[in-house]
Amino acid sequence: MARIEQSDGGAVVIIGSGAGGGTLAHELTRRGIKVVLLEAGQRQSLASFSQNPGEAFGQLTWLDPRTQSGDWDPVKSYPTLPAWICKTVGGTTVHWTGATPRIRPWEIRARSTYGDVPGASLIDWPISYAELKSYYQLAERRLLVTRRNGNPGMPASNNFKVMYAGAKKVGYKRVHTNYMAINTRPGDGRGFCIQQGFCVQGCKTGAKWSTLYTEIPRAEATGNLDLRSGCMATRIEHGDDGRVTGVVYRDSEGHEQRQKARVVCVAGNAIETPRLLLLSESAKFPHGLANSAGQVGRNYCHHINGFIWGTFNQPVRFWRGVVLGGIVEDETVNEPKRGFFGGYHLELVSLDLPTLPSVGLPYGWGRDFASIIDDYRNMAGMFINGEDFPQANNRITLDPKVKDANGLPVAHVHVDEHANDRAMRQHARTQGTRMYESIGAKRVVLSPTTPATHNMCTARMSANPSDGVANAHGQAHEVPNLFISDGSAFSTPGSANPTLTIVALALRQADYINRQMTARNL
Amino acid sequence: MAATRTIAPHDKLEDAAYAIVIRAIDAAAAKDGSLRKQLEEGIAGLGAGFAKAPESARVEALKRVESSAFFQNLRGQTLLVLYSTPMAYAHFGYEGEAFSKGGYLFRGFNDLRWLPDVPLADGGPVPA
Repeated sequence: MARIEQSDGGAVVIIGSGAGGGTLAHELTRRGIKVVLLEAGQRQSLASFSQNPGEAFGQLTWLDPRTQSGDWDPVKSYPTLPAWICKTVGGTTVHWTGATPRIRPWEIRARSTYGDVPGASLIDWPISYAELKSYYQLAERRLLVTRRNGNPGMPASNNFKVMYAGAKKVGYKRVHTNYMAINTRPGDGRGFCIQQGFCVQGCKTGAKWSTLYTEIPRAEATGNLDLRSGCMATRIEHGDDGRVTGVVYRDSEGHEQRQKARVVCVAGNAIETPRLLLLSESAKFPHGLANSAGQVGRNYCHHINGFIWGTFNQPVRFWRGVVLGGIVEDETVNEPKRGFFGGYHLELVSLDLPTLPSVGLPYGWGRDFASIIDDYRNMAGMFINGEDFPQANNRITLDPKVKDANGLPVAHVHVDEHANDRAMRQHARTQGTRMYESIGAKRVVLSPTTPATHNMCTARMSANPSDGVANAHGQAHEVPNLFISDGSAFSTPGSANPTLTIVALALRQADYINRQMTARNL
Repeated sequence: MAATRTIAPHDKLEDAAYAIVIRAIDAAAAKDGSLRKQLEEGIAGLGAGFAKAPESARVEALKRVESSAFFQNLRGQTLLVLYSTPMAYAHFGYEGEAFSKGGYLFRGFNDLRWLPDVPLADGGPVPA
């Protein structure tokens, strides 16, 4: 690993080591570019991942305080936890479930496809699908995605057998064990899946792709990476010309440090990324860095989500096997005659016993609640994952009262649901219920919206600088050496689990930064 | 005990599991004065006869305080600790972590027989 001087203004500083930041770090360092990678969390390993669900949650989760408002469910059920994401080296790729569908061609043209929907701040992505597709193919090869490039599919688990039978009964055609960045056989230095069901606690075989044990060690091996874990960025500084010059951060001892930079890439996930830009306000950028258009933090998207649990008269034992190994793609279409725009996936899901009551049934207690848990052995599960609509006032702001351990304002998350969001969720719940009932479910239980695991669009790419924060390369419209390198840059959320798209955009951005540095434009 | 059994009533789950919940709550309260105060006041608020009251009355009493921080804390702790106990794992048939046993790949991840098997094209081969 490299040791880069804090006074060295030649380095690229990347903030966050997840799908976006970790991939970008590898892509730049392998081209000979020096990178300082700041990560707020600590480093774990396959050996240190806890197999106790409660302990693993504490080990990996971003638990710094956040506040919330609006009419969505987490305000009530999880007031301090609007999002369930990670604070650790590797970011949320440590606890993600490995599902890697693509955003659809018509989804990246959201404004053109759906039209002028009242209340929604839809735009088209400033990228052609043909170009995005070529990076999807690169990303799928990098992650060894199942069912792509000749890789076999994930074998069907008990939970998937239930999903499959129900889906076929109601007439669905595109039902399979999902596109997964989880090896079914050893490959690329990663292990293979032994169907242990502990994807979210950190995959102890390394079958699941994570930057923690793929991109980051490879970046370290180039000799060009200086990874600093336990280091929380608190401010991005700029010069008189408006170009960024460095990053201020707190090291693992809480001391303030300052790293000079040639280029800064922000990949802190879609709540911390806009928070950091807002914290970096200055005389030149009084509303926050790269925020003259007032778009930083706006258009927060989180996907329509929710669990559908079915209980049966016979055992399922859904905890055995890979968590998200199943998908119904038939509803991933834009058919406004269903009563809403856009589409959704139904994806397989299971939760371990300690987690199910708190996460899967958030308000439950009493006899009725207990009777659902009594059927834990006979339970099957699905998760709704649908496209939500961006709205200007669904946004991340700095909380005026609550401060973090460094004395800085925490992020405040505001979400009011759009009527389209509610109509889609209702449709998905009805369809999921039909699937389980068609094969004799004793009971179907629906959960409210849970903390967002997919967070997007808060520093979005836009063709028009007044509509977003960054251009088609994630480069800030106003600040040429500042990049958005995570899901914050999505122009709209689409219906796909976001990691594959974050990786594809990071691969594309790395090509661009490399070209621009070579041409001395950066 | 009566409150935790009212929140998560599994009649055949032994008292030992609920006792672990109470020990965990007591331990947390011993370390945190404001939590201790919240619990003491909350329990006092349920009334002296709560523990011996019939279940329907206990449910009514808890419903009245359902939105309080006291109840949300008590519910959260009860569920988190109760369903993590070895007694609960055994009672509900949950097998827990499997990494140490080689996963469920050869231990029943696909042993469900009451529904048809999935065609290979929509699933995938089980590694040998």
